[in-house]
Amino acid sequence: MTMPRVATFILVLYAALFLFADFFAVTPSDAMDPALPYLPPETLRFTSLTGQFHLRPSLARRQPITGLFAAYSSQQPALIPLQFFVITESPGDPASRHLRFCSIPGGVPHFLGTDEFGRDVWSRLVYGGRLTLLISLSAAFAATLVALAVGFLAGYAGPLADSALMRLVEACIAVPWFYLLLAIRALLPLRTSPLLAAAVCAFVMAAVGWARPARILRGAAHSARQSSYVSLARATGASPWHIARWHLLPALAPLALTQFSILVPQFVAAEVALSFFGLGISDPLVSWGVMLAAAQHLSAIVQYPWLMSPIWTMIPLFFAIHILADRSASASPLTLSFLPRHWYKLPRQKVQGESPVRL
Amino acid sequence: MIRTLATRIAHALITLFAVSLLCFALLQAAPGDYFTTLTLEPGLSTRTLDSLRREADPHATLVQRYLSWCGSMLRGDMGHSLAYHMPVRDLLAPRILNTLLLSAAGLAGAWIVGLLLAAIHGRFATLVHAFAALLWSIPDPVLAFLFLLAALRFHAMAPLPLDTSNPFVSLATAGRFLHAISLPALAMSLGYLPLILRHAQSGVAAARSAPAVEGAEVRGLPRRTVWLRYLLPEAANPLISLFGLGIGSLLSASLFVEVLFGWPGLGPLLLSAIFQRDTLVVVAGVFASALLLIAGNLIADLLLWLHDPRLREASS
Repeated sequence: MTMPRVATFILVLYAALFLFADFFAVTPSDAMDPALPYLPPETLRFTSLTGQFHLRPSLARRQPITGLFAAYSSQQPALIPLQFFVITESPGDPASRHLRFCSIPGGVPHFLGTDEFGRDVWSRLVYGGRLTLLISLSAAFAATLVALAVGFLAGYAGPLADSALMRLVEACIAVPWFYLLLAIRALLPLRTSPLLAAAVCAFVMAAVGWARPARILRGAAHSARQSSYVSLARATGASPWHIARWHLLPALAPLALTQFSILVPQFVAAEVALSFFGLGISDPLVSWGVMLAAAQHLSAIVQYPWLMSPIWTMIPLFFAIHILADRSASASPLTLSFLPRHWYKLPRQKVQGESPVRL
Repeated sequence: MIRTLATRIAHALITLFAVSLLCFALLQAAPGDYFTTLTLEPGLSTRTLDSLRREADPHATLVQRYLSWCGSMLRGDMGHSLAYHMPVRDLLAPRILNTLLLSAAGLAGAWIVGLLLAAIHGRFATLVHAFAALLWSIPDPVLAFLFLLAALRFHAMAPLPLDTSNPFVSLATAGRFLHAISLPALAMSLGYLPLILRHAQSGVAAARSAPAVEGAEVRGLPRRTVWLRYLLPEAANPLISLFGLGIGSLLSASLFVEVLFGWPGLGPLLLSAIFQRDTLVVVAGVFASALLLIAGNLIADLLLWLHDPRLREASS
């Protein structure tokens, strides 16, 4: 089984990239370089102009043609040796002082080019991915929690509450989720502080996404409730809270985890779509959706295809998430084989030792 | 069955009612209205705006507004659009037709290719699996972006025929229509394909070891008969449910693709209506797609009932 390993490796890679975003990005996400708009990706060279080999790579910087917008001469690029592990600070912004993994003297290397305002695409990709994932992970977490609560309640409370909750779920599912997303987002003020906008984005996605998992979890809660071990627990006088905590939750947890991993990529896609329509994240924060919104100008994506780079980073990420979701869905309950056993411990093992209904 | 159907329809009606309440409540709660976007127009004073507002919406309370909306739904004109100055029905009808054309083309393509690919087994099955996994990892908006890139590079986006309501009047318009619909429809069907492929593959795999199919094979029936008479009916149930879901999403699945490719469907209209706070257009659009979603579920249930005698036995 190498596929889950590859997927885990990809996820760890992305996690490192986003956790240490300040290290891997070469400049703050909103730092502009007005002299270099739409700079194509810059290449690294290991040879000097005379053809000598150097172990330290140099950046081939093409010079802007004076008097023209976003035009760069193709002859004689300046070779600037890269520096590694430098503490840099963009002028006039002490908050941007960070240890970066690489830099060039007096400037910023643009490995993936720059956008309209001369902002570094690679750095925006790293910071943007961090925000996109933060939003979708927290929204998926919230939605799964709500779904779990509703599923419990519907599966456990009386038939009246069950029926009412399920009608609500059906109504939420019957509204096309994308329209619901837009409608709820339109409800909230359009111009807010960027941080609030990000929180609103996460909230809206959670508010739309909880219904489907809730229906699935409710079905599972129903069938778990009718199982013999729950009847036994009830017959021995266990409280409803005890049954929910020690019998139903362990039965539902793997399913909830699978639902969670299905929601995350959906929410990444939702964030991209929302931000594309201008309803998601706003400057100076950056997300993958904000970056892809450059595609609204069709001419831009033909002339400056490097602006579409979030596309290529999204595909491996989604691949990894899907592979692991598949695994966790088909793995025997309570074990997630891609994690070392002790990372992921559900209380069931403990319960079997301590429970009053031990057989 | 009649009773089950009646309960299902009653549930559907309750759901529709809840949906309409939900839409209305959401849009009424939104800050501002259509006229707030007009306050920046230098030619309109606040007094003019106030009188316009009163003229457009004489109803004072939310309940009155909702009731008048119900009335307009029953009359069939679905209210009046503030931005376009025409009945919402006339505004939506051609757009809905365009959206249905696009998503029906996309879904039909996905179904045909998906079923054909699911029938492949043996040496090429791994290849199909890898293809499905790859497609599955490309989120729908990204797939649409990729197709847009391809379209701009190789395809030369064709200007849409102005009147898409009747695309096949002449050969020239038909050609242009096909040219325009091909890429968005392809983007849609590739987004939908992995879902179908997954269900079909697991269905076929499960059906292969079903006693009826094994029995047919043991009796030496020709492969075609085994497939058509035994294996497909055995594997059909989850696919029928999926088909119902597909019908239900005909109006809502293509929104992003439509906006990206500039397809004159429901998506761009609803999006601009949401931004302009053209309330009744939004409500009508959402209501139409919710109606279709519920109808799709009902159709799936009906098809299941027709296909699977066990369900008929159980209900009678």
